[in-house]
Amino acid sequence: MPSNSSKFADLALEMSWSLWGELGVSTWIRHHQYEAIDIEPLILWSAWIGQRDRRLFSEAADWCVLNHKSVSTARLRRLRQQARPAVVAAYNLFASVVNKHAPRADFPSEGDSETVQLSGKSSLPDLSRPALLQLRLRALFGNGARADVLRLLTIHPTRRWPASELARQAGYSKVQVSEVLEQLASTATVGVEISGNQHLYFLRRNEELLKLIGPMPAIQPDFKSRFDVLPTLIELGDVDPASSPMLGSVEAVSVLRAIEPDLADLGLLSVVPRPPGPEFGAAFDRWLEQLLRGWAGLEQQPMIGEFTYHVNRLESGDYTFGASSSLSIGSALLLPGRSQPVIEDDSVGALALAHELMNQAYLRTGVTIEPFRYQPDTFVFANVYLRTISRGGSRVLGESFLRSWRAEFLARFGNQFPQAPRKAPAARPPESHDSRGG
Amino acid sequence: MLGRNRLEEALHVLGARLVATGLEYDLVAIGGGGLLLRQLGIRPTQDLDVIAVVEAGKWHKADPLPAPLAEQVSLVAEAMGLDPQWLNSAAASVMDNGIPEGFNDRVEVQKYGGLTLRVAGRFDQICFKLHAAVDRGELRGKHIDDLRALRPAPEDLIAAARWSTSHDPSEGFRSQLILLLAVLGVPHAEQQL
Repeated sequence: MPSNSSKFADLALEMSWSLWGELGVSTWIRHHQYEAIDIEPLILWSAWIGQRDRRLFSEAADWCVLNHKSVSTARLRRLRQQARPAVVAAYNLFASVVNKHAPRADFPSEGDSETVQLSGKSSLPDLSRPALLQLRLRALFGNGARADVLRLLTIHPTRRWPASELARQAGYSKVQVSEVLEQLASTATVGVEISGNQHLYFLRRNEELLKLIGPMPAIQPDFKSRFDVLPTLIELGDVDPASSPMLGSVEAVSVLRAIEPDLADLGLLSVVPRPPGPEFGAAFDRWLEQLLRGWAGLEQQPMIGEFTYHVNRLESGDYTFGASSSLSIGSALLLPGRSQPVIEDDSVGALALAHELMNQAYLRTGVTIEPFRYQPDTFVFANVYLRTISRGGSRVLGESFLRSWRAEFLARFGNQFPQAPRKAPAARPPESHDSRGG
Repeated sequence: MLGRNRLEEALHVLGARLVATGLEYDLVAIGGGGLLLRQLGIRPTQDLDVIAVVEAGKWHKADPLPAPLAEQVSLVAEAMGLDPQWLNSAAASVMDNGIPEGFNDRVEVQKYGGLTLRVAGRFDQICFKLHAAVDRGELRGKHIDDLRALRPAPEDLIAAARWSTSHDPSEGFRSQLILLLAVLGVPHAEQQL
């Protein structure tokens, strides 16, 4: 699937530029104002994808030369140990370029360097940006495990973390993380619950900490797992296109198997299309494309074979919404229990709309989610994807994107709230949407 | 269960997949799947039995299947919704005591992209089916049905019986064999073995 390869690589590059732009690299692309950036996985990933875009490689290196004090070399070393060989090779080159221009950076590296001209256009990061939570925490607490543990704990105060999971996601050893947690617990910043033989940690002095660390991002994606998925998609896309739909499905099974552990970490296993059948390959491709568009922060596009939801923002700020597919003309939808299509732009409207969009998307796969009750995902989705629609404007949201977004979001909460979706007795067909025609 | 069309589709997909991944295999196949591929039978089958892998002209017992091939077989199974063992080497033990003489001259070579299949000939299938039926103590069942579909002449059955006793010379096997031959229309076979 070479067309997919370049398509996926383009989306991955768009995401990369946007993330670096948020950090202060010279670029106009910025789609990640609401997502907490994780710098070390981004460095390793950018070294690899930078082989396809040398300007990204050199601009990322340029940023590191200027801002190396904000980078954790211990975490780089640990992540490098876990990375695939091709990423390690690319990273080693990247690190040697940074070290050549900034010897005090001391990025862990092996092998020879090459001469890369850097632009010198990078700027110091604007730490007032919500997305730069990690760098703010490091400015306050240093570049060690403490800042990254606190960053993860701020995802939500309700989430309970075993030390091993914090260590995995923070990219430090369990011993290092356990020491930090003990110290934080001794100041009552962190609380401990014992469940069976497991100690579960959570943020206790949440409000005080949030006041100190400044504007919070809406989402803290698991960028390490995202970046672990991407090389497989791009590399496997380099082979010749499948000569038949069934062969495409076999290739898709091969890709799915390769990325399944990372999809599990991301919480996406429950929403990924599954074989068998000749249509699986195309369904998997569509799913990946919408997922990557979402990760890149790009607007969704209607896709063949998928249901698309349209949200319109009226001049008053209120909303209407509807659905369409390649097989059906658009139809207006109503919120459950409502008889009017206009959804007020008040404290409830956008949240209820966010919930209903996800509910409709899940129903398409025969899964029903729990009723609306101000779940955290509805707050975040409304703020990021609905309230940002300009008045008089509109936004399209693909069904698979909606499912994937929610699944990934819930995984960051440790799937503790809300409850996991359950299988409905039967899928509601598209025609059965509450419809006003259109 | 696999009908001929489904089995051939799976083999075409597997062969194309082997080409796409730079792999190539030359296999020897017997059993119900082999009968379907040579149109010697119509009974749907569970699997295709592979007994040998041919490399540089040499036949090696296919137990286990080469790992890269097994991986591709597994991928095809998942994509097509087939039994994970749709192509397996469970019958490869038939290689331990030797296959019928002249087997290679009777195979039909079928090509599916990166996959070459040497499918056993009619007489060899009679040998394997007769042996399998006796081994399982069957006087009716799928192996007998397959045998009947092959329409063996008495002399085919006697020759196959001689080969099968070379694999199992026990008295019990011989008794069951004679009983089955009688069922298949060769009475008093004990005098010809």
